[in-house]
Amino acid sequence: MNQGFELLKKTIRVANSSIGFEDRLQGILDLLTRLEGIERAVLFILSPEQEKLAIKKVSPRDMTWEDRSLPLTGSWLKDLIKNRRPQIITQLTRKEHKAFLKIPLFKGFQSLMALPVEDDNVLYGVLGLLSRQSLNPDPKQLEQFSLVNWELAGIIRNSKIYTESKKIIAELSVLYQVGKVIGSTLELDDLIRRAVAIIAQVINATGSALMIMEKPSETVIVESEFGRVSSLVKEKIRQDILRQKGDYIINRDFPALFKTSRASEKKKGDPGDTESITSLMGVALHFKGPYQGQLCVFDKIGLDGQSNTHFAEDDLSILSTIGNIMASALENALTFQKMETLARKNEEMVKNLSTLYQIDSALMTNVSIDELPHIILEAITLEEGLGFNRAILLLADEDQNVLTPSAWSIQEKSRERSAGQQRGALSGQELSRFLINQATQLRNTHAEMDSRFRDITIPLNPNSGILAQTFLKGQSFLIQEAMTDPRTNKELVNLLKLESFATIPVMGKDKVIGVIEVDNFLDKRSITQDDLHLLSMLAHQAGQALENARLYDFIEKTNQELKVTRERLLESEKMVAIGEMASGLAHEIRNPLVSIGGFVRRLNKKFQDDAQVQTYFQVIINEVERLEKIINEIMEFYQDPRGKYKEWDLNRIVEQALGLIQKEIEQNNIVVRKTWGRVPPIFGDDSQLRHVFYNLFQNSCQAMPQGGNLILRTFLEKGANRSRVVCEIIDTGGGIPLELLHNIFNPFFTTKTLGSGLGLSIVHKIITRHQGEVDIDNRPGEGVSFLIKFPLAKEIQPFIKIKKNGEENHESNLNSR
Amino acid sequence: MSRILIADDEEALQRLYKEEFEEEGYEVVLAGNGKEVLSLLEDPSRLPDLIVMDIRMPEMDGISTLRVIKEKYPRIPVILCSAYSEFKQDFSTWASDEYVVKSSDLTELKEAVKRLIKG
Repeated sequence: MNQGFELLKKTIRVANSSIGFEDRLQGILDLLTRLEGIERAVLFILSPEQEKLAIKKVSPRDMTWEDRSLPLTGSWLKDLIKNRRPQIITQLTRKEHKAFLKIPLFKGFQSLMALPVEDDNVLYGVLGLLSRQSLNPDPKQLEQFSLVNWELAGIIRNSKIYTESKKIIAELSVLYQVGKVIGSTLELDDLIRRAVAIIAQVINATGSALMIMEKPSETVIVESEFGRVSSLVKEKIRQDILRQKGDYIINRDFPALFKTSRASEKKKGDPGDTESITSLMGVALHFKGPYQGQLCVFDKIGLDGQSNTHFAEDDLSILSTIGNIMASALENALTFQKMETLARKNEEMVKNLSTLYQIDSALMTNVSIDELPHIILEAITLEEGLGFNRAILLLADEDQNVLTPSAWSIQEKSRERSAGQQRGALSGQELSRFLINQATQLRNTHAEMDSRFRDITIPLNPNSGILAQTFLKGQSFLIQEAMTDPRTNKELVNLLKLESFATIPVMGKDKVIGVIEVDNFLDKRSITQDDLHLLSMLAHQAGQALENARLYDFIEKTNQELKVTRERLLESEKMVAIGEMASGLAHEIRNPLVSIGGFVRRLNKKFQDDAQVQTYFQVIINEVERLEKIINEIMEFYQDPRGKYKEWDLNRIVEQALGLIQKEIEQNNIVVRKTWGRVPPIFGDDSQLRHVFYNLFQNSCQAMPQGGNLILRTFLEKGANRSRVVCEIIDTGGGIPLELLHNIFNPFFTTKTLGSGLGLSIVHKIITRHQGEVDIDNRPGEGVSFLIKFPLAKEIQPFIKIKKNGEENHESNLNSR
Repeated sequence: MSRILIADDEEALQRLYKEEFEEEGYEVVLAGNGKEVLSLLEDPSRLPDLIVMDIRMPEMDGISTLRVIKEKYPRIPVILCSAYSEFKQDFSTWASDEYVVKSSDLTELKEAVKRLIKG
């Protein structure tokens, strides 16, 4: 009784002590072996499947025992487990005890008392008490043992609850950590990197890997790993995602699973292949969006931190929970990333648009057809602009039916900017301003650039390569391999060393006016569709600007011509008015002059004997003659019988004028040298034209009274817009004194003692009337040369004929003669 | 003696012409305008051998007079003698037998008269 009380007292004390569960179990067993007749106590724990009994504790402690389990064979054991009835075997010799006796722990004992370790609900195990004597407990003793077992069951139950809660707490803590990591960032890359690391840690795995694929395209959009992940594992993950495989655990040598796929990859000799993985566990990640992924951990680390153990279902459930959390976080991150990408794209577009706007405003501020192409190309090659390495603008020459380069630009990384201005910082209006400034400088530098570009001529037919095609079809091209592409013009490819290039048509108002070629021949950056898109927008603007400039240029030229014509017209109107006045005046003067002169001559005749009076009369006669001559000149000058205008050969006119002055030339010993060029006819009044040259020759003769050289030359001066027939008259008469030069065309100025002084001014008037020009090259002390230029008859005839029509109305009157 | 009809509205010139041509041995008849010329021509007994006529004259100018003369008396030579040198090229004067620009030196006019009367 005392003994029994003592046992229970101690058992309760041990069971409720603060030592560990294991120690408490051991302590109770030790108490049992102190009892009389009980030499050994063994505690078996029933496996969760209730199939085996595993040895948990043995007393006395100095016993060494194998960690092995006992199958539930033998009727007595079954009875014990099933009916929870204590079994007392007094003689351990029977056959049915054989399996039991194989265990060394049980050898040498005669009797066994097996008691169920249970509480009111669960059977946890079996307590075996062994003795070398025959055990024969009384009911009281049995009840004591049952109470002890009750305590043991309590300890085991508590321990189980404790372990369970610890695990749950651990899981919660894992989830907390993972959640914390996942919630800490929306940055996708960062999130994944952190997630795989923490997952490997919390699962206690050597490594982990995560992969997300986009469903429709089957492309990997996210991939991250922690630890060393072999290509085999990655391949498996990829395959699993494609096959939409669910959660799994593989606890064996991993590479053995992939014998076939491994064989095909052997050549690559990936070092990761040689390392085998003992365990692998993966969960599928499910997304609402069009993604599919897998989260994978491998090589579970044992508790001792060294040995590899296997993944358990618990691990999988944690991983699965983590996977779910991850999936939603990743989904957010992916959405965020997508939004960010969109925002970035937006920003890029805004930037591009702003660049285009700046370029556009640069283009709009300049209407010079010479500078515009350079602004356009600078915009294309400038880093702040479109940033291509090289650009060439070719414009169509419709007369020749070819494309010829109008401008070209090459990005120069080293190009220095004016002080304090960083190229990278160009933005907003600065870009626009920079482009305009640059264009003027570029025009100069490009003028002396190598002729490689200038000499390019591309016939506009479909066989002369991409540039011609771009023009003819009005569409852009993006060529990746210029050398091998059959469509390219190999000559040009070699010349420009093209590899990958793009061309884009430049549209005018309603037709293609040229082509822009771009390439990145320096940094070999590939040209994207986005680049091309931007370029096409620029090309559109460029086309508009070029068209505007062309129009403006045309308008300006026309304006200029109009201005000249109007000036001429004004002048001729003025001349007509003056002419009418002068002619009326001359006529009024002439009659009285004739009377005066006529009667003086009569007086002169009458007083033939009076020599003194005669000299007076002679003065009057001479003066009257002079006045009459002036009147003749004025009238001759101001009447312009344009109706008489015809085509004339300038050579003949000059020759005729020369004939008129032959006498004076010979008298003055002047040597004439003539070079008649082949010149097209001019249009005008021959008598007036002769007068021009007669007058000029007269001038030369008067300038060379002691002899000299008179050089005459005619030639055709070809100009861009119009050509002129030119006669050059060079004398060696010492030139015109500088102080007189500006006056020589003044009608009331003369240096001559003879003549009216109208000479050169009449020359000037006649030439202007014929829409010609006079250039004077005066070399004081040496001589003077006049360049008399007339337009070609075929160019001005249409304008002058108008007057003639008026005359033709009178033609009938003439016939009546 | 050859008879010359000279038409000019300037009295001073009429006098000059008359004196000069009478000195040359011509009979000179004067008229002040085209109408006078035509009325003088109405007398068939006194038809002139030659007519010298100014262009700008009152009542009837030399050009229209010239047309009538050339219609009615095509055999009488007419010399136009005007201060307007530009009319020399004008078709309306082409019907005249000679065109002389007025000058105080009458040599050119005299030579023309002599030539036309001879012919």
